[in-house]
Amino acid sequence: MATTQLADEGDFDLLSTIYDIIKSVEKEQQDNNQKLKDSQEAGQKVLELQRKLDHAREVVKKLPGIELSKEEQLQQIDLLRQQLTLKRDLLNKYRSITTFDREAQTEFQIHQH
Amino acid sequence: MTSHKSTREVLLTCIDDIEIIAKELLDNLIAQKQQKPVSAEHSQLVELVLQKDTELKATLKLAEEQGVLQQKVVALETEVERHDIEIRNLQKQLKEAEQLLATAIFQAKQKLQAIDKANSRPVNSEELIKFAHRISASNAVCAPLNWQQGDLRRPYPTDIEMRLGFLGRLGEMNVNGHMSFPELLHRPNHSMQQGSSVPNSQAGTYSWLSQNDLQMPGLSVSHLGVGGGMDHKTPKKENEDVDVMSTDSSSSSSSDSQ
Repeated sequence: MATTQLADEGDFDLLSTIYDIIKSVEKEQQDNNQKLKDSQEAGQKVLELQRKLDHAREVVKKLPGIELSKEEQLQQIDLLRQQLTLKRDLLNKYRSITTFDREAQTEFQIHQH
Repeated sequence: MTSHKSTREVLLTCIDDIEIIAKELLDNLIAQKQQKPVSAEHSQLVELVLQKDTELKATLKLAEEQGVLQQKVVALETEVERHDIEIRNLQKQLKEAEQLLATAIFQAKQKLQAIDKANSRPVNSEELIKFAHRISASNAVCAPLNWQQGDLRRPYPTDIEMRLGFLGRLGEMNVNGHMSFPELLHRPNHSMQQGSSVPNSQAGTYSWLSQNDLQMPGLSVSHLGVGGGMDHKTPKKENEDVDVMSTDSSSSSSSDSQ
């Protein structure tokens, strides 16, 4: 599952690492040398898990657009759309306003009196 | 309950939870190897970790959608910013226009007040021109157009003019011991005919004076007196002066008819 360009598929694949650790821990060896190797391997796998967790956290911090929850983000989009409509209407109103004319002047005078 | 948590927070919490559960799981495994197995808790932990992983994947999907929405948000914000700039420009222009119009209206109101003032007290333009001629007749306002260096004319009455004037000839007496007005009147003309060096402006000045005074010889006595008690006749004299002035082109000092 590719989220964005910032995150790869394997960034959040923690389960497999955990599984590997469990596998190496549960390996039962009779040979002492192998046991040592296995324990070393298990240790490395644990470190790898830690590294993966930290990496996952880094990736999450860099992902865009998740400062708000989805509902809040949709609200934000709504608000922005409303703002844009208002401003567009305002500009159009002032662009299409007519210059001074006699009728408007007479109306204004009547209104004043 | 609590307010909406941001997706980022949810993701980070998920990851932390998985970490904790994994650690628990491993601790359990190791303990299991060494001591008695605690299988029930173990399977619970495994289920929990699987659940958390599913949760993580779902939240990641949500984050992906939100990433797409964020692009829309950015585009909308850019548009709104652009409109804001336009609105600010429009505001500036309207403010300038308002200032210009306010200034124009103020000046127009002042002009209207001046027009009303002028209409309430109208002055005949002919009278204004006559007075302008009288004021400028002595060359005190502006030099004559053909004046050059060396010209004897001056913006003030010169000593010759003073001597030829009323005060200058105050000492001249006729046989009877008092001044005869017609003699005084004819004197300047007489001296000019003799070819004195009286310049044109003097002639101009005296010509209107002499003509007016000829018409009103009766006033001469009052002018000779120290404190004339006949003040009520002077405005009438001035009016007659004014009437004559408009038709008499030689009264203007700037004319070269002399």
